[in-house]
Amino acid sequence: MTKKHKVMLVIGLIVTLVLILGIGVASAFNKATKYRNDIYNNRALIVVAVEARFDKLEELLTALNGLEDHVETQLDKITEARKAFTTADATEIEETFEEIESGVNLIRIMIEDNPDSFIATAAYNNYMAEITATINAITSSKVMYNDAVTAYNTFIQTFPRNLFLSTFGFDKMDLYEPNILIN
Amino acid sequence: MSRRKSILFILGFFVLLVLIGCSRKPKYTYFGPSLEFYINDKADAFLRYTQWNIYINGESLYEESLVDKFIPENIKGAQVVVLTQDINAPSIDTTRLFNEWGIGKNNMGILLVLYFSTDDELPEFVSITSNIGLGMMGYLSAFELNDMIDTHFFPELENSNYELATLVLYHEIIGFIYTEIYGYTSYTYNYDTFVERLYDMMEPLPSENSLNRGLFGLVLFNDFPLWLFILIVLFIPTLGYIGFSITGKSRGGGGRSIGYWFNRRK
Repeated sequence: MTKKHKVMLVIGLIVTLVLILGIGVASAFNKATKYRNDIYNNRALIVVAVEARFDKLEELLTALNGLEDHVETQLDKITEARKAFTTADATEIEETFEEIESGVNLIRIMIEDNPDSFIATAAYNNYMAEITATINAITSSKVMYNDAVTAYNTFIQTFPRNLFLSTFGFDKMDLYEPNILIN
Repeated sequence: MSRRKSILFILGFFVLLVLIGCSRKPKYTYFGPSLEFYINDKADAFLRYTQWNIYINGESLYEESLVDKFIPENIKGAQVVVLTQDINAPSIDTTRLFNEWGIGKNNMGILLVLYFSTDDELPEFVSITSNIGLGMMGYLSAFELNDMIDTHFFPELENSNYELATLVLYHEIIGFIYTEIYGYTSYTYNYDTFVERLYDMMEPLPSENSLNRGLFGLVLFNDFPLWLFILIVLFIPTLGYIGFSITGKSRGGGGRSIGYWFNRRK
């Protein structure tokens, strides 16, 4: 092998290496972006689920008969909680969630104690199904959010991606806590 | 590098690509949809007529909504899927399953999972879980769907059997979608036909037809020589891929659920 051949071989190897590295970095960047967008999407779903819960609760309360005093108090609470949810800062949002859940539990107890107070007794099961479904939706959306965060964190913290992805702004994200919703 | 080495290198590269392709994560956590998509009788609880009826009517709803110019684009493609499960089988997360199957275009999907006890000779209905898609939940609430179950499914279950109860519920749901969501003036179904034909239908479902099971199905059902199968898989991977993708294609509309579900026991 002549000297010229040797130089060409070294240059070829360097170019190949740079190409492989470039493709690897670009691919990791694109995948990390996809994972991060999944997180944003799932975070939005939690808000959708909570909003749906407010809507259903308001519908449910206004449909109750014979418990007007309790209903009015609960409706006020729900309205306040909803307002707080949309404007809450990180420290208040946990309180908002607790407010919603205590409201839901109170309504559930009221319904269970007074099944005859409904427009129709047959509607009792339907209300229960609605309450259960909205609770499930919030729980599932939180789980989906955490799944997305876990997938993302695993991806960016795995070797060799952990060596360069943070320089592109891909930092570790936290699992579900109420205050993530407003960040 | 000699010519022979170059050819070997290129061949090796393609083999590597095929191996990488094969090593991809399986798409489904539990199991994939059936070839009929709208009905997946895992518990082996339904007669053929029930399965055909759900399959044809579910497909019609989906296809018709896609071509109907009077239905707004953002709500086209409703899909109502029925799955039967043995209660002794490993438990499934219906939301995960819903999302992996992609039920309903524009998130307009509903998944009904009927659980059966198969300890006795005949399957016995235990409970029904209804999971409503993200788009569909704006049109059909758990309240309304539960009301349909109470009004149509359980009384029919009491008076006749779970097959007719399922058919009635299925048609009530798609009737709701046609009339209340898609704005059709009416939707009717003939209950007497269900009763008459329930035990008569013998026509195998598409998934029972070995030609539709893909290349593996052909071998399993002995209609295809094994040596030819091996030849195809080894030497023409692309053809093998096309064979699988044509015969086993899922028909989910890409819909999503956020876990808006509830369960009702018998």
